[in-house]
Amino acid sequence: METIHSLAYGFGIFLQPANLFYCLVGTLMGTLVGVLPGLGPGAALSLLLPLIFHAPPVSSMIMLAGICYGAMYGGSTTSILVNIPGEVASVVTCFDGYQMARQGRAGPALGIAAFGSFIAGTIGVIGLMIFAPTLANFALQFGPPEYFSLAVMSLTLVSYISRGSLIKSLIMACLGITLSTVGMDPFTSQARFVFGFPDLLNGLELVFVAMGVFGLGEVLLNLGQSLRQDILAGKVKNLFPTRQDWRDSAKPIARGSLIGFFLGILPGFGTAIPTFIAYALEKRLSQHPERFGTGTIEGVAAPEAANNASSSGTFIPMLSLGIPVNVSSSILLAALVILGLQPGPLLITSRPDVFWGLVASMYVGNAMLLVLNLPLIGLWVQVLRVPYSILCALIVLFCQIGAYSVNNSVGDVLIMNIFGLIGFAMKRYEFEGGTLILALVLGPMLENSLRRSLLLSEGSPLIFFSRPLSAVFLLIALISLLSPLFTGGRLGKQAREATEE
Amino acid sequence: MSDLKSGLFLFGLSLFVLWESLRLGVGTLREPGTGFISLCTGAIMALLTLALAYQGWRKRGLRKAPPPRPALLAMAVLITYSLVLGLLGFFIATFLLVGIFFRLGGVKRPWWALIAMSLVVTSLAYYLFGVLLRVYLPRGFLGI
Repeated sequence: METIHSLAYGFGIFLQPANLFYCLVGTLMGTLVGVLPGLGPGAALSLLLPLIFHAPPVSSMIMLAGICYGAMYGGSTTSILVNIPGEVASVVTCFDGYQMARQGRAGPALGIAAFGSFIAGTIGVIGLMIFAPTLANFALQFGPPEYFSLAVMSLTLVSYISRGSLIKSLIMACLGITLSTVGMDPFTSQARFVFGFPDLLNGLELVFVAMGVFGLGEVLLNLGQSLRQDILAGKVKNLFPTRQDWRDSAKPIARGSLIGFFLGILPGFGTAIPTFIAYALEKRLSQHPERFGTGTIEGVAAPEAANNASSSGTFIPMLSLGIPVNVSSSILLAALVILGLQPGPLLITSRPDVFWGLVASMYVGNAMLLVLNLPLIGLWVQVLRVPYSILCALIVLFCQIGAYSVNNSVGDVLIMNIFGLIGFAMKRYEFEGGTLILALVLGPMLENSLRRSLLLSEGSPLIFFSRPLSAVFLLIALISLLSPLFTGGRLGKQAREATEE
Repeated sequence: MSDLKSGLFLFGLSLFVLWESLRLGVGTLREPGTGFISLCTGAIMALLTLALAYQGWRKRGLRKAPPPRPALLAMAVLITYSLVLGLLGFFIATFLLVGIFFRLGGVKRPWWALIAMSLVVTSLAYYLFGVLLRVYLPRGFLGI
């Protein structure tokens, strides 16, 4: 009953015209960036983050959530029409989505992606509404040792599930934590790693690092390469799936939603791995597994439902514990801090307007995405026709203006451009940007809780093992680090190999 | 080969982090100092980067990626842009940046068309952000 009352309060906030407008702008902008090849929710949030500096906190979070699921949906559109996934979570959609499009069934593929995403998104929001306050209440028992161990567990799980080398991912985690120490020490106010640059005194702001690594890094990598853009000729029609399509897709959507939601809550799984698992499960359960990969609608419905539900799932640890589990939630968490909100278990009770307003916006935002995007498919196809050679210059321009407009500082532009170079080098040498960003966001919490724990225990590291929850978190971290030695493989690596096949 | 190079480069970086942490003051376990956490991450990073370099050394000669010429040029352009933005002002610096990126991106048009395209894009951006959204864009010596 209390939940319904709170939800009604959330709708009261969300239905204010300004918030509806911000939600609309977020879903549209998110879809627009998500449609661009190679740019997913992480890049969309990074590129559009400067927009929030001009809006109140509730509206900003509503807009950012809209960008997040809008970009997810936009990525699916490119997967189906061009066979270029907007981001990793849409890779699986290419398998059957593009084949359906080649057979002249682009309409139903896009339609089921939209409806599947809408249904899964709604299921995810219901889960968020139920689980987040419960988890937040539970997390009130956490002290500094639990937070330290939770941060360590999140980072090791993200590295374990990363799609590349475990060593490289762990190196990025260490580098991210080190970068998070740039600026003033919160305990002693001593400057660290500043080297006389006043712009660094307040620390490295995530907005510039993320824009550089994900926005500019991507452009620099693709520069001079002609991205294949074989857009299918002809008009996309019959967006509404047939009764048979619905019959085939209903169960995959339900299963995909549950898999996506529960895996999305766990650190590291993010939105990509659930899509692979949902697809593999449908193939295993199907009476015609041989049809998968040739244009079957279940192959589109299940991963699309999984990626949208997991997108809602990632909000749970972010809003209730203040722990991000993937790039998008790292950026959203950083946005909370920028907006002057204190992430953690008290957020839901201290700022119910933000939490419940956000939940209400996600119900309507998913519907908005459906209503807006089906008629706008033609527009997104036109966007896809803009040559990449022109798009890359526009992305660079947008990054420069975005970085400058945050503080009206040329120094910020320089920092972002330097991180663009770092992002390019990371991509070229196959280091994952996601772990770096996550560590950068988790770094201050990790350092504070480590130092507080050691002060509490008068220098005894045993405090992390003597408290049961903290010991469990560290045990999980240890298992995830050691298990590749015994099992010979990791989930993320297997997912990458499946993609390459 | 790339793992060897990147491993050694990052090993050097981790040594620098260690040195800087020691300079900042590590403190004790009872009272951790300013450089405590970076000393821990620097030490772990040093071990991991050595392991990466060793892996790379074992796999050396397997493949060699071509040098990323357009990307290197683009990086130089971006850094130069950051340094001259305040001096030249938004309009001139951005006009040059967009034009160069059109060329680097592979737009196959004559030079006058590139200039025209860059002029249109920069003017639109200036109008949208500088005039409509009232972002205070750097003015430079010409005042635009």
